[in-house]
Amino acid sequence: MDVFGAEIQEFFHYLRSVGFSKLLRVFWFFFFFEFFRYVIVDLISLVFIMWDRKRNRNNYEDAKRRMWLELPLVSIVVPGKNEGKHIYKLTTSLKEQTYKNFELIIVDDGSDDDTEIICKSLKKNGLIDYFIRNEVRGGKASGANTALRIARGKYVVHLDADCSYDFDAIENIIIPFYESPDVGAVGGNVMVRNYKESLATTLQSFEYTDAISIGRMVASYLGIYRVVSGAFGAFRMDILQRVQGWDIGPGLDGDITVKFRKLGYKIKFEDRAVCQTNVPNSFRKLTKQRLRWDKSLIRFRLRKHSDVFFPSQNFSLTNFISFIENITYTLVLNIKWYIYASDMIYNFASVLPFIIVMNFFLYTTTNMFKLLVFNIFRERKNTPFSYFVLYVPLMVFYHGYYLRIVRTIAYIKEFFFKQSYKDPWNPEKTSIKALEIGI
Amino acid sequence: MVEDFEKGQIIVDKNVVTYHDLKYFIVELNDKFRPDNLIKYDVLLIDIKEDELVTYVVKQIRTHINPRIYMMPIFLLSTTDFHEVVTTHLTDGILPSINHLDSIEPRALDIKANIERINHPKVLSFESQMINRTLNLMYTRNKKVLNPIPYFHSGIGYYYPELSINFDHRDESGALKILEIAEQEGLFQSEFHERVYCCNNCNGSYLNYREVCPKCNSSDSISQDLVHHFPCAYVGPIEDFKNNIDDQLDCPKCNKTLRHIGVDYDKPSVLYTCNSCHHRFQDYYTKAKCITCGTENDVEHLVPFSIKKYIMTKKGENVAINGYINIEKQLESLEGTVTMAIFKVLLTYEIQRLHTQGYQSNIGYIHVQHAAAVAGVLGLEKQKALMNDLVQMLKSNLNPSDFVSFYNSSTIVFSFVNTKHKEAKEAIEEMKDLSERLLRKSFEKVHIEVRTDVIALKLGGEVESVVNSMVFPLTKM
Ligand SMILES: [Zn+2]
Ligand SMILES: [Zn+2]
Ligand SMILES: [Zn+2]
Repeated sequence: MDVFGAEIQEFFHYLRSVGFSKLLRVFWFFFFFEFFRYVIVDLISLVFIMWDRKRNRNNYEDAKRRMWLELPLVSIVVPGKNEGKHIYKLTTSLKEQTYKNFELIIVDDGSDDDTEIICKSLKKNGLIDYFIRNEVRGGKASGANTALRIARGKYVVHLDADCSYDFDAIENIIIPFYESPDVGAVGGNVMVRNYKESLATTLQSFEYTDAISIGRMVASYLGIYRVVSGAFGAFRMDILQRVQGWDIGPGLDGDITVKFRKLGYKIKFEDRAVCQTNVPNSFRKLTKQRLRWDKSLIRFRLRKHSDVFFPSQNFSLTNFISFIENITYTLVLNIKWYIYASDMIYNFASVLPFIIVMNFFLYTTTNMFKLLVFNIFRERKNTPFSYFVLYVPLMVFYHGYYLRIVRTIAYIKEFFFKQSYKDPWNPEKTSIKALEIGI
Repeated sequence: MVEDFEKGQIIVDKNVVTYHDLKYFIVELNDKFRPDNLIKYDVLLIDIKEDELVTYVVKQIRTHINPRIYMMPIFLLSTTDFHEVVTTHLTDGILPSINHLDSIEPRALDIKANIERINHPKVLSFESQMINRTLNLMYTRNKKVLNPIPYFHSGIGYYYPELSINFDHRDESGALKILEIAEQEGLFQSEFHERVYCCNNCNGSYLNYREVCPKCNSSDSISQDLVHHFPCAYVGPIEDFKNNIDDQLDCPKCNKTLRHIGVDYDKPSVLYTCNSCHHRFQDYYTKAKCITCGTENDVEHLVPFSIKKYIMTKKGENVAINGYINIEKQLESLEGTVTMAIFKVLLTYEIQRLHTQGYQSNIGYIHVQHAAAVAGVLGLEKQKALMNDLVQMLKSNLNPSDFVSFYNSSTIVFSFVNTKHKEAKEAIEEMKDLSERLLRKSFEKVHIEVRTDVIALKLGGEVESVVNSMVFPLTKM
């Protein structure tokens, strides 16, 4: 303890001696990128968001009133394979909804378990409006597109079968369409249901509450919100038909959002439309999931939708910025971090332990600050923020090392080897064709 | 045959022929047919060409209330076989001409002898009457097996002529219930023949099975194969891919031409669109529409009946001769009633209670007359509902301590405990009045008569004989 105390003293002594400019030199990565983007920008945006909300309260209430007056039909589409075991729970969660004018369409994408039997009996009992079974699997996109053939709603809400929903979730995800005629899609707020299950789920829950939920609020406010979650997203039917539905995934959630943006529609995040989901409960499963997500950045941003970067008649500044921001803060930053690490190892090898400790200290303080301050801006919480306090130090490892390494691996695999086309998430027959035409 | 003539020993007088020891009556087209009058004759000859009229006459005979009439030998005066299958089963043969009476005489005599062997105890319940009629007809024809015959006009598709003739089409499944009782009583042994599924509403078996829209039950719909184009995940009916220029199929989303099923596209599902309500669905519901009553039956809600072949047992033969009376089938317990056994126990206590100074007690009955006829008109289910109504009416007019039971399916017996006989008599008059009004209200088109009586209990009375003596007058109607 004495030894450690001495170390810390020495460390602070070092900090005092180096001065602020030296500090920036050593911790440039933190100050210029992460602190600026994820603390300063977020905080300012959040303040504006709340101020806007107060100022536009009447506007929101008016939108809500108009929605209830019109009572549009909402088609809830749930494509999936072997999801039968979740469907009953899903239907009960939907039965509780304040908004009742919806039709529930389940597409069974070639399940080889009891899904068909379960769904048929639920349909008989009137808990499902439409049940379509594909004997052979076609993938998530084709499942969703099949549902689209049947859907007759003005809005389409895409759900994941293993999620459950706040009783006002459907209502809240539709209201933004009435706030502005430019809104093409609305993303719901996904929270982690099994946050107590394991360390992996707790850390993810922290990530969802902070980086994902707050991140999306800010992105939505700045007009650069990118991914309407497949677990809970609402789309205008007319636009979905214009873009002819979903394209082949993985990452079809992000892809459809881009297609909407390209047509000039706004994408909104609605933190008050809450859905709870179970996240992977081990790091092994989480790694698999994140590899898939991260590969789709390369595949869809850099490859499929690369036209966003070039001036054309559909060129849109916000789309351009959104893409640049996305690529900067994921791909470029990821590369930059390695540059930073090399910089430190090469130029500051002697004080490396101090730098690592200091980075840890900076990030942890920031995370703690965000946890406490951003908590004020969250209208709906499923976890008391105090639950996370103990885990704040671990977030450095989670965000800074674990996720970063997974992301790097994903980028390399996808960039050089186009690995996402081999992902069994899609049936092979569709991946082959997608690769052939390069989407 | 209108003119009188004499030829050998055949004496013809109007429609009556006497030959050897038998008196034949000939029914003709222009006759005013009065089955009641046939009691004087031994054999009926039907000289009518019109199938429907023949069937009508046979039915009048075979469903007649008088055993001598319903068992009467019937022959058709005809040179050809008769086509109507049920009538063929219910008649005893064909007589090519009146000059061939010798050909049918042995059979007529045999039947007549059998008829004379049969005793006819008066039975009250519908079920007993039906069992007796069936056994009587079979026995007198030396018939051991009651075969179900496939019959187009039958409500359940199969017909047991001797029994089913007593039932209206929509009530024919009642015949199966009667046979079930008879089998339980050991009068028949059965062999499985077929299973029929009947309408949940009317028990009819004339069903139209078809695939219908799950929403509106319409069978008018079109089907489309859904095509999934792999490269772009487009899903739509094949029509979406057709173009106006050539036979090629082009994807409306990515403009690529479909080449090879399984390689770049497949057809994972079929979608039906209802032409009536525009509902879109993948799975038809199979529904059975009842042609008789129009009900749309879910296939799993159809009522299954086992159609069996019934073979008369030794006991059955015995009962055919002596009548089926002792075991009157209890109605399924209705609310507020006790079984006959319990009724008798309670009655024993009631008789003992008479020892108390000044204690008086009575029992009475309400009997719906002509149970078989009533059931024939109302149907068994409605008849049961009627009995239930009567029980409820009784319960609300009796004391809470009184007990009610079914003597048989058309007779309700009940007590007037701790009541003076005079008061009980007044009460039962009132009940008769009430029940007749109730029946008139519920069954406007059917004339239903009820009989009632009440007797005072006497010390030392034997329960069995008390009940029987009370109900005895009913057997003499
Ligand atoms: Zn295509
Ligand atoms: Zn329909
Ligand atoms: Zn029917």
